[in-house]
Amino acid sequence: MDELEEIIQSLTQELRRGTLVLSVLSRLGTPQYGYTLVKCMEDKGIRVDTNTLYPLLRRLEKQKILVSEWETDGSKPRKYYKRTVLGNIVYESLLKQWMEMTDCMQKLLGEEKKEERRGGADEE
Amino acid sequence: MKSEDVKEKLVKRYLYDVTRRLPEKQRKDIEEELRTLIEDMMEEREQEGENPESIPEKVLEELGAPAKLASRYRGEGDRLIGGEYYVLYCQVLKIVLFGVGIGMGVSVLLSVCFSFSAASLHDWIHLITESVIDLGAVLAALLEVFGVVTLVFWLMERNQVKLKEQSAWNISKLPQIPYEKAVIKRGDSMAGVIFGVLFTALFVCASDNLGIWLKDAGGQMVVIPLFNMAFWNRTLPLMVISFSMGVIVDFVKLLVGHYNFFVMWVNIVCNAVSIVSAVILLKGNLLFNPDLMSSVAAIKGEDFFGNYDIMRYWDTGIIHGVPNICLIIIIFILLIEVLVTVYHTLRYGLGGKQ
Repeated sequence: MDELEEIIQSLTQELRRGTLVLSVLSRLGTPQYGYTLVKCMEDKGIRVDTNTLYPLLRRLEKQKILVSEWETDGSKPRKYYKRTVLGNIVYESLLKQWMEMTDCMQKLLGEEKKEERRGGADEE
Repeated sequence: MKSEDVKEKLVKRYLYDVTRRLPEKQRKDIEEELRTLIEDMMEEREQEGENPESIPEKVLEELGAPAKLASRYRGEGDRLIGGEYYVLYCQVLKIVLFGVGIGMGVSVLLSVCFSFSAASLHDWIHLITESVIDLGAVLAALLEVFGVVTLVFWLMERNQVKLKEQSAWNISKLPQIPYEKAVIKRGDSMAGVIFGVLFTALFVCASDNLGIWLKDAGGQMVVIPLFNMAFWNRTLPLMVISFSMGVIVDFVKLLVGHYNFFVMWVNIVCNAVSIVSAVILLKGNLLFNPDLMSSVAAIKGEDFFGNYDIMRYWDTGIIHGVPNICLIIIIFILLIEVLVTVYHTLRYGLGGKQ
């Protein structure tokens, strides 16, 4: 049973991982620092591990999709990230991909469900 | 206030353990960012009314193993040599290839320069074919070295991965931050590795060209080898062992980066082996060519050396000869190195107590 749970968990994780960049980019039209980003995504029901998010932000910055700036006015120095112009383009096209994909997935999974129901009815 | 201190230290150790696995340039920035993150996470738990004693531990465990976090920062997938060692692997590879290349290159150049005489077409063809063969040997040696270095790092990597798999991480596994004085300068260890490799390469390739170059009566260049070529098949392995010990010590220092018991024991054992081989080489009269002075005198005449020239006493009983002086110097240097390491380890290296 443990093994099955492990498999399900790792597959779920994989599924989530694919959506991570898109969800992060969607929040960074305005500057935010890492921890508020985690919190505001959590509020929307999307759990992100901080130890995944922070390295990801840095990687996106390296790819020039995000730009960062240290804000030292507050009590603690904070690094704020925001989408660049390039980041906007990337975000738009990822968003488009996502819409198309969810559309197709909906259809695919909807059909699957119908078939299942039909199969169940035949057996009865 | 005491608990604040403990908390601060724990966070520092965590940050140290993450950043030491990252490229130098990114360390400070990532450290700052993570520090703020950890503080935020701790504050949040405090506001939720958790037991303040256990908060730092919980936050750090939520962030997870430093090695894993660092590997995410490096953004690595599966590589033969993982990111943890990758930077060092490249550096060592550069050093060693450079050392062997230069060492062998010099030896080839030496033998070409000195063995080449006359200039008939036949000689030129001979020279060119010889050089091509030599160059091939240099390339083969470089490839071999590349292979050995990669193998060593691959084994280290595999060992590390096994260690990681064995057990889950918790904060008790955080290393102590080394005391500033226990840090071994990278430059020093690098220089040690470079020279060790360079000298080894020179000895292996050019030993018969190292010596006194003279023109004999007929105007021909002759070389009187400095080393005892008669026993070379026994001398060379001992020399290589001796030099390798030095390289191993410096390599371990480079790898660990600070004095600790492991470095100390490696240093003691390696230097002991070096001393033993030096004693065998020099007391057994295996290293130096005993006929060096008589061969020179045979060509240049007895008056070639002045009365007070130290070389006159080469291998004679008066000052027990040059080999004994060399032996004393070598043992002295090796012992000093061990003493310095032992001192630093015992004084500063005990888990970095400050």
